[in-house]
Amino acid sequence: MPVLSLCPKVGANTGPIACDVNRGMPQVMIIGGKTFAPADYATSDTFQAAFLEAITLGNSDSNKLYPFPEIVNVVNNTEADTTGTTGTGVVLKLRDGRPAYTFGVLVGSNLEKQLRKFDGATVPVFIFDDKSNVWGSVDAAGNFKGNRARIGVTGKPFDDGNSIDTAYTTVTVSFISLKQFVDFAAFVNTDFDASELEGLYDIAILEAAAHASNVYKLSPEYVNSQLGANLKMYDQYEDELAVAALWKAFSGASLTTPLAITSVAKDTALGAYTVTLDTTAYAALPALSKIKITLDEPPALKAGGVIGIEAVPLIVTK
Amino acid sequence: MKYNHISFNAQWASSLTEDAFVEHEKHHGMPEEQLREAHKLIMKSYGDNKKSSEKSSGVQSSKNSGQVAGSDKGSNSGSERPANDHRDKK
Repeated sequence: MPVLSLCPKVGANTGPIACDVNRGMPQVMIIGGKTFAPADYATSDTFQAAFLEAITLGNSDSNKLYPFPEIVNVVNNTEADTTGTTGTGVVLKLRDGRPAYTFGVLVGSNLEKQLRKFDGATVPVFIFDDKSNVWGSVDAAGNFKGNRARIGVTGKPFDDGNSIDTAYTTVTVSFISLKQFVDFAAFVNTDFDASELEGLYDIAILEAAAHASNVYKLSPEYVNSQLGANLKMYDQYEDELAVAALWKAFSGASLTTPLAITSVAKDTALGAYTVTLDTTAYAALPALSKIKITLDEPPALKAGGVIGIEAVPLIVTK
Repeated sequence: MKYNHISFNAQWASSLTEDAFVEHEKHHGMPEEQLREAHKLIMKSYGDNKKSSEKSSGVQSSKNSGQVAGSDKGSNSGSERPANDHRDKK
């Protein structure tokens, strides 16, 4: 009888390639919808520049990437394959288990609140490992993207003096598609250090004093969980933020109609900025109209020397 | 454009008369003569930059070109300074 085999139709060549790479220990999890076309990862340098740029985009940009804090504890929660045993003792795999992990991160209350905003979200996830590889998956068009996963974030409890697990804020990651995670796995080697993969700070625009008609006294601040201890951006970027072009105002039903900011000046007594809106446009707004006042997008701020922050807009009522 | 530590929206300011500009920005407490000088400098600077950009793009300038922008870039783009501008020394 001839030897017949369907292996070529179901399998693939299995030659071992030297220096093949597998996943290392996760160091940083990066969330976001950024997709890297082949031109973006043509070289490691090109990819790294594009990756870092995506971290500095504004929240309105769907390509923005959000790095989580460096991981200090890893628990593998990958579900075991579901198997069944035949009557003669043959063990068959019935269903693949899904990859899942619990990461421990050491963060303060402020950052923990930011991470909690991702709780329950299903998002694309890149993993930067201890071999400096950024792992994701590649689609049919050759685009490199994150693997879809369900995220859970649990706040840190009080220390109990007994268990190391009370030291962490825990982040659970459950990957949705095994095929994407394994069969379409891809990575880019980088020169990154985990400390380079840090996100932006949310900065609230607060009213430092009551406004006088169209003239507002505004203070961009990092709102601290410690009450009375906000960080004022005036102290960090006193002159850099005293630039009219970096401030934006909007009106209209959807708060998207530009409202001219005519000047910005430092108020040294308040440690804030005097932001003046166009009187004519302001007066034309109906009473009780909402006005959104904010800073420009992070790339524009960065160009103006204001690095690492993104404004949370202030909504005022005329 | 920054004048005496105040950053003015040059594009917006260039659409105003000098008197209207002074009236609008007097709340900063800057002396009137300085506000008038600031406006003159804005008109010169913004006008020079506008002519330069229109010349390079082949666009003809119009008399009423200093309108407050309604584009999604807003109206806060007017902070051009000529290279020889030595104002606002600290």
